[in-house]
Amino acid sequence: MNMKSSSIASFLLLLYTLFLFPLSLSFFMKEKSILIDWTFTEINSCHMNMTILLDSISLSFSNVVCFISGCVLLFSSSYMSSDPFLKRFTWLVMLFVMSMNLLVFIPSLPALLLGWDGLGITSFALVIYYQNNKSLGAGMLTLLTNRIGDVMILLSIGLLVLIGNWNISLLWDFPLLFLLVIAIMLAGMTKSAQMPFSSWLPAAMAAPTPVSALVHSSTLVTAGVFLLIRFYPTLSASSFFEESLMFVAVLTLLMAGIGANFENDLKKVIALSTLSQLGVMMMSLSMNLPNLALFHLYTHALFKALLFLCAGAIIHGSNNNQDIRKMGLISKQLPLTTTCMNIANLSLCGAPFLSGFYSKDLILEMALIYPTNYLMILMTFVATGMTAAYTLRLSFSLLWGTQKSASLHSKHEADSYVNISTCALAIMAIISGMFLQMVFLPFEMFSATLSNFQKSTTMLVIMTSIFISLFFWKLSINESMKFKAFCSSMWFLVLLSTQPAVSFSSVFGSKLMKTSDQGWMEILGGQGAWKGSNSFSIMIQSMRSGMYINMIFVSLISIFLILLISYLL
Amino acid sequence: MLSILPFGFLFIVVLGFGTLFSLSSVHWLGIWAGLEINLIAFIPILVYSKGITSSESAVKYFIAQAMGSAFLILGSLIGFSPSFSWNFMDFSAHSYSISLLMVNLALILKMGAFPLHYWLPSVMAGLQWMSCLILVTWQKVAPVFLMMSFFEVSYMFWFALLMSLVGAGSSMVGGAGGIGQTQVRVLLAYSSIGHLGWIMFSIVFSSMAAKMYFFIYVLISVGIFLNLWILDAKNMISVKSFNQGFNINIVNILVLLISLAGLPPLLGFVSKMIVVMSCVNYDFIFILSFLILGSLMSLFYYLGLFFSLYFSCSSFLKIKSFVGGLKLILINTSILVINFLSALIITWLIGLF
Repeated sequence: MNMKSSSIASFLLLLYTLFLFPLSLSFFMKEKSILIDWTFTEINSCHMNMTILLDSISLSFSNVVCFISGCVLLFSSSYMSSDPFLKRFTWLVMLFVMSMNLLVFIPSLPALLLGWDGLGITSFALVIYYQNNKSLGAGMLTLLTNRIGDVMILLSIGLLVLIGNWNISLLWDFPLLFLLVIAIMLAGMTKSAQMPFSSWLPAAMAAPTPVSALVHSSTLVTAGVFLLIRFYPTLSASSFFEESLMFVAVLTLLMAGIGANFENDLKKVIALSTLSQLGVMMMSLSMNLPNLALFHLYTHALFKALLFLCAGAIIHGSNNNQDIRKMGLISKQLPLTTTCMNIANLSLCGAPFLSGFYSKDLILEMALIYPTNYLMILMTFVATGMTAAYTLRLSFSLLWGTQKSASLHSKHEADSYVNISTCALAIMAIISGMFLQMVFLPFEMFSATLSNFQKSTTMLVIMTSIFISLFFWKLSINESMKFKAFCSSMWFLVLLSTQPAVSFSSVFGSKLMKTSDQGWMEILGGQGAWKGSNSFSIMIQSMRSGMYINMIFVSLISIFLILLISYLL
Repeated sequence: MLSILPFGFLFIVVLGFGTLFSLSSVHWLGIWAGLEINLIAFIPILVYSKGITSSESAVKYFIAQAMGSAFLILGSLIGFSPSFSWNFMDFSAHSYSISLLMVNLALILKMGAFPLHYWLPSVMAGLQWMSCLILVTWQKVAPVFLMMSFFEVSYMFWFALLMSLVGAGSSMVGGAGGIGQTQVRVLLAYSSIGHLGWIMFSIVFSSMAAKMYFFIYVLISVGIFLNLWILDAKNMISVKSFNQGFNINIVNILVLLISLAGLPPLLGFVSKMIVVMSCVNYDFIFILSFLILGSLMSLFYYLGLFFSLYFSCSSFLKIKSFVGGLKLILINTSILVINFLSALIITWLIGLF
């Protein structure tokens, strides 16, 4: 049997998921966690440890990651079938899955860096998979932004030297804890593309669509959230953590929600919606609800991967066109894919009884009863409305609108790889919310007592925004260009995080090289030392080259001088 | 070499006897006489090759040593007046500081350390390799060990400070003097001054360290001088024109040069580490930085010699093409092996201190 490498990999991953599922379920039910600490060598009382933490969080996370990557690899058997380097692609994705698992299972910070850096490198390699300048630019932006996070992790490893223990789950208070909190928060924010570091996420859409589905929507970007969840007991001890994280999260939520309404690239719309959902997760973290954040992380990962796969199927069918202005009437051409995509979209909006409803709705309700200020609530709900609006916009132009593409197209649904993977994910997108709520909720006592008005606020906001967006769909409003530029460039973050950073560092670097490396450092360093020692040496040599009797004379004089000085002293 | 001349052995025996006599004496006349016997026996060894340069060097050496002896006897006589004893043991405690200083300056002149080092490079420039080897090894024994015995008898702060300054100055001069030097023997003379500086410095803190340093320096010097003698590499130009491929001598010189520079895996590092270890607990740690600076500068010219040797060799190692007899090869290989055993030696020495 001649199987594609990606299919083999996906088979393995799905098998692993199947075996892991009962195990993670039992860990959930019994609230069990196992810490394996293996000291493989000890040098001068310095222990080299390999720590593995098996608990409900790590097992279920690994389960979700492997399930999604299995589906995605199955999908890429079709999507990447004409790619000459399918094997390399499969290896890269498998490396990615491996680093993700390392990150999930290892609670020791230096070893966790293995997975963390592995994610950065493999995601870079995957972004530049299509070798062109645009991909390289996007890849560099991705890599360098993530590099900030790597540095923050390194810094926190350095800080933790103070307490001599790098195990995340066993930290205690120490004088520089606030620095550790800042470092970990920044690391999580870069990986999860929160506000000042958001611009890499849409740029990373230069990667192949299956990669976007796996890496840049459901798993990699959630690594930041995961890190914060793992660190949560330590982080929540500091006073500024909640407020600052909530501020950043809500801003990201709003920015991404507005930006998605102005975006025309299909993949970028979905990327921005990912960004807003990451904001939702961060927000729930900032409201002392780490388990709810994890809940939303799982449901979001499932329906977002589905959304991406459907988008990939559509892009693949319409001759690699990603512009939503040149699509339309796909519901007639691809009924199954459209069905799946609708499920994902509705789940994203939080339509009742789909998976997104259980997690997102709960987070929004918790936001209503959480003691925060009015502005935050307002921004959160505006952003929620925006989510519904851009989802509807996507559906309008993509699925139901008039056909704007050429009538000659190659859309078909005979590919079993695509159908199996999308259907599997669609089933998960429907049932996972209900299922996870049954598993998760018993452990966390939510007592959301809301008035009728508050209870219906979420629905109201979604309905209103759907209505408004329906209304505006027909209406061509004369938008201000400046406002549009502001919104579609992620509040200028795209412009701010590429050119200024690059030009500053390159100009500063060249100046520094001229003044210091080729200037002062040379005079104070190699060249100067050479000149100094050379002239010193010439001085000494010239004494030797004279008459010998002079040297004897000099020796005599120095003897008498030394004697005289010692006598005087 | 010396076996050609029947009197060679005689003079070598007398040379050794002079040094031992000087070191065994308890009063200054014996010390002085031993040094004089040593000098008288060394002069014929210097001039045996009958070249004009060796004779010139012999005369230069004689003048310097004679001056040193004169100061030695003068200083000891000044010390005689307060204590009415010419005994070495009574000397340092009860005499004027000026006599102690004068005697020590005489010893410094005799060994060729910092303020009075001028004669050493110009003497070495004209000598044969074997004489050079004796000059930098055996001829240092008497002055260095006499100096050491002053510290055995009593410890004076100003004296210790002076000796460490002499050490630092020697190291600096030994480092700077060799830069830009093209004659290999002069270069090794400056290297000898530099290493003497380290020995002088370590005398102050631990005679054990000084002895170890001296022993290791002698060991490496023997290897280097024997090999250079076989190759007859007078200056850097002649080194560059060897063009004979790697043979065991060149490999030996390369390794020993790095060892002399004191790079870690080799023996030369052990001696420097011992000195550093012995002085870290005392006040003069600051002076150590000058010593290290001096060795850094000497590393520069060692590497210069190293590279001109290394790049002169056209092909890879050919063990067959050695020069010299079997005994020399045995000596060479044993020195080479000892050079690589530094890790063991260090662990042994750490137990010792």
